[in-house]
Amino acid sequence: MNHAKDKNFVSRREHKQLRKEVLDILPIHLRGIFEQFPPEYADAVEEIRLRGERPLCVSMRNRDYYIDGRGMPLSHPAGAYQVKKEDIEKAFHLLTDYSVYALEEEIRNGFITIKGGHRVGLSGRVVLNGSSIRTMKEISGLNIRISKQKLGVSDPIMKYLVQGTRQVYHTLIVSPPQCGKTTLLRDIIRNVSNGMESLNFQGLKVGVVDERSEICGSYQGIPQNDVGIRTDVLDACPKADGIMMLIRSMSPQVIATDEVGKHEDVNAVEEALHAGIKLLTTVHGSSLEEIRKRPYLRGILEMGVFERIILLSNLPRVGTIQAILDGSRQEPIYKYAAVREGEFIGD
Amino acid sequence: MVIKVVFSLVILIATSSIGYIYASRYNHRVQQLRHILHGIQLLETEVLYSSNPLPEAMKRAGERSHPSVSGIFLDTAQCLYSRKGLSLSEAWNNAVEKHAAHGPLQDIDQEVLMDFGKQLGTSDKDNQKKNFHMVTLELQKQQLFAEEERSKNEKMCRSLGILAGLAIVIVFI
Repeated sequence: MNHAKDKNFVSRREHKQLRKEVLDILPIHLRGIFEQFPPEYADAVEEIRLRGERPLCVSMRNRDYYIDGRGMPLSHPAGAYQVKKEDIEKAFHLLTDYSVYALEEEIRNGFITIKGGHRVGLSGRVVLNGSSIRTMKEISGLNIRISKQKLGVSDPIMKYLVQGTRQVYHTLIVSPPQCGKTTLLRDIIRNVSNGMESLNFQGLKVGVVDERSEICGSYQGIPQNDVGIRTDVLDACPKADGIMMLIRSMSPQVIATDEVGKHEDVNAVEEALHAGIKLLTTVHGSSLEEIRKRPYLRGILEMGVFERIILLSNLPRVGTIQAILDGSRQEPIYKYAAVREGEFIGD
Repeated sequence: MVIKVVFSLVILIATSSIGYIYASRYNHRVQQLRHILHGIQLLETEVLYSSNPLPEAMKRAGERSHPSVSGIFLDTAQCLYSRKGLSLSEAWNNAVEKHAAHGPLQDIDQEVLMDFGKQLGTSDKDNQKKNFHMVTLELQKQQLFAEEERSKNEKMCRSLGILAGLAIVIVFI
C-alpha cells in the first residue's frame, strides 16, 4: 500500500500480537492464552467471543475458529478452551474499569467502547423498569469487536467527492453489512476535515453524530480513531437530535453520520440541507433498487439530494468500491475496473 | 539522695509516658476513622456525582484525603491502573490490610471496609448509593464506639502510668 508512510497509529511491533487494549480487558489466564496466539493471525482477528461454558471463539477471514489452552486456533470446537462464568465476570469488570455505575447508559444500549475504539457487545439478563430497559446483569456473553482503522482507504476516491477547493458533495455510501462502510466513512471524514493538499482542497469543519460510537470510537470523550483536526464529535447521540444540536451550536460545514433510515433522521437531514450543510452518510443495502423500496429513503433519493453515491461490495474483497454514481444523472463516474459491464451493482 | 531523686524522676517519667502512649492509641483510632470516613465521602462524590471510573475516583479521593489514610486509596488506584488483572475487591483488600498492619485500626474496622469493597463498582448508581450509605453508617458507629472507648480508657491509662510510677518509687526507693 502506498499509504504505509501515513501516520499508522499502530506500530509494526504491536501488530505481532493482539492489540494491548484488547488484551488488557481479558482476565490474566485468557491474556496468557492470547499471548501465545500465532502472530501471523493476530492481524486478521475481527471478533473475540466469550460465551459462558462454551468454547472460546475467534472470527477471522469470514470463519470461526476455536482457541485451545495454548492459544492455537482450531477449526473444530473439540479440545477448545471452555470459557468459564468467572472469566466473563472478570472481563466485564476490567472492561468497565470496575465502574459499572459510570457506564449505565452504555450497558443499556448493549455495548461498551473501550480504549482504542474497540467495541464490546454484551448479552445477559435484562432488568426492566416498566417497559424500558434499566440495566443488564448476569452477563453471559461478550463479543469483542476489534476496530481497525484503515488510514488512506478513501484517498483514491476523494477527487470524486470534492467540489473546488472549499466544498464537498452530498455523499451517500450504500453497502451491505460488513463491507467496510463505516471504515470508508471514517476515512472520508478524516480527509474532509484535514483537507487534501494533492487536490488543493482545504479542510472543512465536520460535525459527526456518532450514535453507536463506531465512527470515532470515543473513549472517555476522546476519539480513538483519527477523524481529522476540524472534527467535532457528538458521541452516543441519537442522530436526529444530534444533527439539530450540531446545526444550532457548532456551525459545521459538513455533517457526517452513520446509517440513516428512520423517519426522524430524514427530517433532520432535510433540516441540515436547508441550513446549507453538506452531508456524508451511509445506508445498508446491496443496491440502489433495494434502497428505493424503503419508504423514507426513497423520499431522500427522489429529492435528488445526494450528488455522489458510492456503492461498496465485498467482492472480490471487503471494502471494494464498486462504483461512484453521479446522483442527479444516476450515472457512474467511476467503476471498479475488474467488473464487467452487466455485473454492475445497482444500475 | 540526689541520685534517688533523679532515679525516681526517671521512673516516673518513663511510666507516665508509657501510659500516655497507650492512651494515644485510642485517640489515634478515632482520628483514623474520621479521616477514612472523609476519604470515603470524597470517593462517593467522585463516584455518584462525577461518575468517574474507579481508578480515577480512587486517585482523586486519595490525593485530597488526609495523608494518614490516603495510602489506602492511592494504592488501590495504582493497582487498578497497572491492570494486573486483580479484581477491585482484591486490590482494595490488599490496600486496607497493608495500611491497617501498622495502624491503630481494629479488625472490625477492616471488616467494614472490606465489605464495602465487595460491592464497590459492581452495580448501578442506586445500589452504589446504598453501599456508600451502609459504609458511612458502619464507620460512624465504629467511630462512636472508638470515642466511648477513648473517653473510658484514655484517662485511665494516663493515671495508671503515673500511679504505677509513684508506686514503684514509694515501694522501692
